Amino acid sequence: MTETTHNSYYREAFEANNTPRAFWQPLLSDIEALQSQDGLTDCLKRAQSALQNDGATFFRDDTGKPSARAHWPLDPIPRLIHKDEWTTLTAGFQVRTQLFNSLLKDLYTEQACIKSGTLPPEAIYAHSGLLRPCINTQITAEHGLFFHCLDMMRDQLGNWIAMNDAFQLPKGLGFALENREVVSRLFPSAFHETQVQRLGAFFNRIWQVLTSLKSQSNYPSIVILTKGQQSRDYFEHSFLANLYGIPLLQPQDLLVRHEQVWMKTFDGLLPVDIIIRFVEDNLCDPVELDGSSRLGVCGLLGAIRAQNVKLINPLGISVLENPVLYKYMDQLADFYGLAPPLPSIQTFWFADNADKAHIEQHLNELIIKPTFTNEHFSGVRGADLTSEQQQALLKKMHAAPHQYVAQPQLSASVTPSLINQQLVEQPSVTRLYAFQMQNEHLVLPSGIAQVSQETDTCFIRLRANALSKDVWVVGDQQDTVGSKDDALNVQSTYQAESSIASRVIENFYILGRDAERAQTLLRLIRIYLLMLTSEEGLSDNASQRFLLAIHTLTEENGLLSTKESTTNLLTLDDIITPSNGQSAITLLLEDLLQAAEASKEMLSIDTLRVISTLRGNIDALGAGCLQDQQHFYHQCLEPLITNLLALSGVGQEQMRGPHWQFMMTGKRITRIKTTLQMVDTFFVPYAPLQDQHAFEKAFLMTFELFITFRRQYHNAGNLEALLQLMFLEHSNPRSILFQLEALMYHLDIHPFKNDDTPETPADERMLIDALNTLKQSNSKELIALDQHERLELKAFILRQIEIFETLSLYINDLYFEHSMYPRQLNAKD
Amino acid sequence: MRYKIRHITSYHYKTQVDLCYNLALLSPASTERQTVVFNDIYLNPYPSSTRELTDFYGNSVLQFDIQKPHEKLIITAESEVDVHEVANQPSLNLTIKDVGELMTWQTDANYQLAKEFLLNSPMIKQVDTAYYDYAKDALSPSNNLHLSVLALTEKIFTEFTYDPEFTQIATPLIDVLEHKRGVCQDFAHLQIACLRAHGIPAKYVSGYIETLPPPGQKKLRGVDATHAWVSYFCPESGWIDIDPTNNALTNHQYIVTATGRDFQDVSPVKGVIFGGGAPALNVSVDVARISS
Repeated sequence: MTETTHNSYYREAFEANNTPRAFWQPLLSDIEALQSQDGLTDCLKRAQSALQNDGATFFRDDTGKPSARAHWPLDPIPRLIHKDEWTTLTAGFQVRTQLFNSLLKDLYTEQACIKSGTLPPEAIYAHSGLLRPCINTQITAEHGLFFHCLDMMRDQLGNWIAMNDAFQLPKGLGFALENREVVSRLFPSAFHETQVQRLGAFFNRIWQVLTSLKSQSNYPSIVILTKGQQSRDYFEHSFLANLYGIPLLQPQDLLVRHEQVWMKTFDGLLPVDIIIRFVEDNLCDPVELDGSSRLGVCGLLGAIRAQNVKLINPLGISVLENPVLYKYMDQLADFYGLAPPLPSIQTFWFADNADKAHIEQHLNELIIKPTFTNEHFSGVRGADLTSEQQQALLKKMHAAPHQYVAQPQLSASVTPSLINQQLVEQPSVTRLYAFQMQNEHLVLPSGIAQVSQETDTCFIRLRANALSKDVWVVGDQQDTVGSKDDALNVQSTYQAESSIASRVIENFYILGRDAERAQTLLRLIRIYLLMLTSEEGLSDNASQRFLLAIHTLTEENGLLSTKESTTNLLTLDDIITPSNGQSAITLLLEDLLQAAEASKEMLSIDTLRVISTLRGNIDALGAGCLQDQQHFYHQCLEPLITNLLALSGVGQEQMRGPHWQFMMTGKRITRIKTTLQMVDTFFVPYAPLQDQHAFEKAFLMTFELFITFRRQYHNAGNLEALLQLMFLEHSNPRSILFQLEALMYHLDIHPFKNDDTPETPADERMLIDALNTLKQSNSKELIALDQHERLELKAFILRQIEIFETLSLYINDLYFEHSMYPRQLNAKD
Repeated sequence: MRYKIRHITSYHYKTQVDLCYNLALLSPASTERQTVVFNDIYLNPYPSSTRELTDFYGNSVLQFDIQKPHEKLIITAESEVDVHEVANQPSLNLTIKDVGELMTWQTDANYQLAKEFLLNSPMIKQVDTAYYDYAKDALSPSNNLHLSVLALTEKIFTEFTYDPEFTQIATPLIDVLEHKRGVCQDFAHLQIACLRAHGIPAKYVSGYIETLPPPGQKKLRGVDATHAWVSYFCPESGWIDIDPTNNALTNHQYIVTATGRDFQDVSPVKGVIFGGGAPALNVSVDVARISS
């Protein structure tokens, strides 16, 4: 271990005389052994690749832009806490939870703590977390809070101090499990020798408690509510949904009718009893809370008042996320008749005259924070500001004294960490998780430690640039055995098929559609590059036609023959790395990834891996990727095609259900469209014989039919046979006839089909129309050239494309949800 | 004095509204100064579900939703209210400075709860010292509390022009101060902002005021309107209502519907609609004296 310079800090792993603490010894030995073989870097790489395989990413903000996506930052070296100390810590944690729970219930009913003068009214009434519509609605009275997250650190003397209590969303709970999965494998011997406490029992008990809550049916139906794939921690939302086998829903998947929350599924409405929410409470109901919210469920408060749904955590809980409360913790504990809670960080409130004077005098030693954390300002060190900035800040504080607190900068204890491939001791904060209900207080025997990557600072609020660590509670004997999987033996309350949200179905359709188009597109590019560099090469005209074909394929219904011909010559750069923004190919692949993300909880682990690799490979399609064509071919194109093949392979193995039918529907319709688009570009306009042969070859290779065709017809240059094969060959899984028959099958078993009406449904009529046009076509007539064009072929393609364009729109209108947003109704003009 | 009040709010939508979720604050509550004898709210179309509740400020609220397509929404609130002539008597021996000190040191429940009405609220936010400055002559620290609140009321009444064309719901309060124009809601907001800036808790009151036809004429239907005024916290006596629009203390002709921090807390109809385009809103109020 590198000698540390942190003399004024408590050292987690070492005694004052530099000898390792006994319970750290097995881990330190493992690390030493690795270090001597230069294995630490390998260890980090293994951790990162495991995280990547699991798709463990998060967003730096809530914009959902691909550029904001980052890998979950993990420092593979765990932070250890001894079991004896842990027992003391959790006992203190429980008192703290009880205190906040009493306060929550009081604030949303009697407000006795305010009326009695225990708490200054301004501390609560000036805080945006107090949601007045939630008062006196039994929202919080019965159950109070469920999840409590607590950020703790240790000061110079080794005392634990509470830095921050979080209730709004149990952030990091999924990542804690993921960290454990990865880290326990990196140090297997230390993990077993130190008898690290397991996490399964905690998650298992939560499930038991939740499923025991009363509901109208036997089992309550539990869902997880997320803002969607653009939310920062979407990974863990889907992770938890997968863990419990429950639906991962977005606000538009829910509605309230007759004061009951319903989930919109493909089969109709299903009641929802419990919502584990990852949407901030003030956004949850635009009727009574933030009216501008597009992430709310209208009427949710009504359903809560009727006691038809429980939210975890309850709405209005963010009133507890207020550092001013730390100033009054002992008085509050006294008032509610509880033992004093774990000590909190010293907090000065600018609305208190004595505190105000202290803050003004000691600005350089303090951290200034808002009482209600927001996007724009979460805290600043006084010492980091110039004197003008300090004056500006003080002016703002004087204008709104209730909104600011100050806290001292503490020197957090240091713990062994791997920073920039160096083993060092770094300051850290540890987040603990508790779940409480009906006097039962469960603490996750782990947590997430955050270490600063900067060496010169102890200011380690949970920031974007911090690394996360697994937390090991180690001891002599093991209380809880079992992994998270075998602990979770409670039956899911859902029937897999009937609980698929309509939105998920649509995403599967998009997945099928985009994967098919991307595959054809990339294959054509590959063949183009191959032919360009082959012995025969390509004429300039033929090359241009290839580029037009590629370009046309990037549009869903694009047809060359209906476009104005332009004299501008296309280049591959124009298509793949356009100077005016993202290429259509990248957009297509991003769209595919979006759809996969949005239906993540329905995808198998292997599918998620493929998606994750695909994401990595898309990044390679950036500017300059075409500079070295060989490199582009081998390093960009080939891996992408392989990914897409793998994706359609695992797609075939998906459980059959409405989502699978729609994925296949998307794929079949797109296959017809791309085939027609390519026939249109390559064969409608006249081409010299040599070019024509190149086109036929490219066409067959794109659809992997070259070998078959050669075996059957021996020679190239047989357009009639080629069209016959692509249009009407029953046994060819690429032929239009084959797709039409498959579509008949997929659309026929869709629900919502009304068997009572004698009329043939519109989608079926369209398919029959397409089939008739196809069967009446005559390959000989189709290939007839009229001056420079094959007019019959062109008419045939136009007719077919029109049918499928209409069919796509029809499916979209009939089956997919079209979210409408609510508008405020004003009482005055 | 017994009054019968009929308050009809109708929305006519340009296009069909598919569904709506709303709250109506149209039911007067019984207090020391008034007793509600009868109250009912009729909805057209008939709602899918309704629930009566009491909000944080003690107002009665009707929560309702309509789950079928409709092109108009008509809310008819009818009530009969007895108004008693007992109102809190303001204590006359307090200065503005005394209020500041009492508000700091007193921790009795009524003081604790009044402190909320010193803070900024959704529609009333201090803008530097603008409201403080406007009222500082009227509310100087050594002045008698009640008399200076009356002086401020008169100042607003004299200096501001009643102009329904000038403001809308979204007009910022600071514009009202700058242009010295507005309606009862604006004058109430303005006086509240001034009082709070000087450390006097103040809340917003919505309700009705009885209007009498010119002598010899019969009262027309629907000519009354909703009204808004101010209630300030007078230590040692309680909340005192005052009307800056009419430069008067309230009397038996004022009927209270709801109180809150500002208009947003007591808006008669809140909530959301799906679809509908811009609605045409029509409000008609009748306040009739049925016995004295």
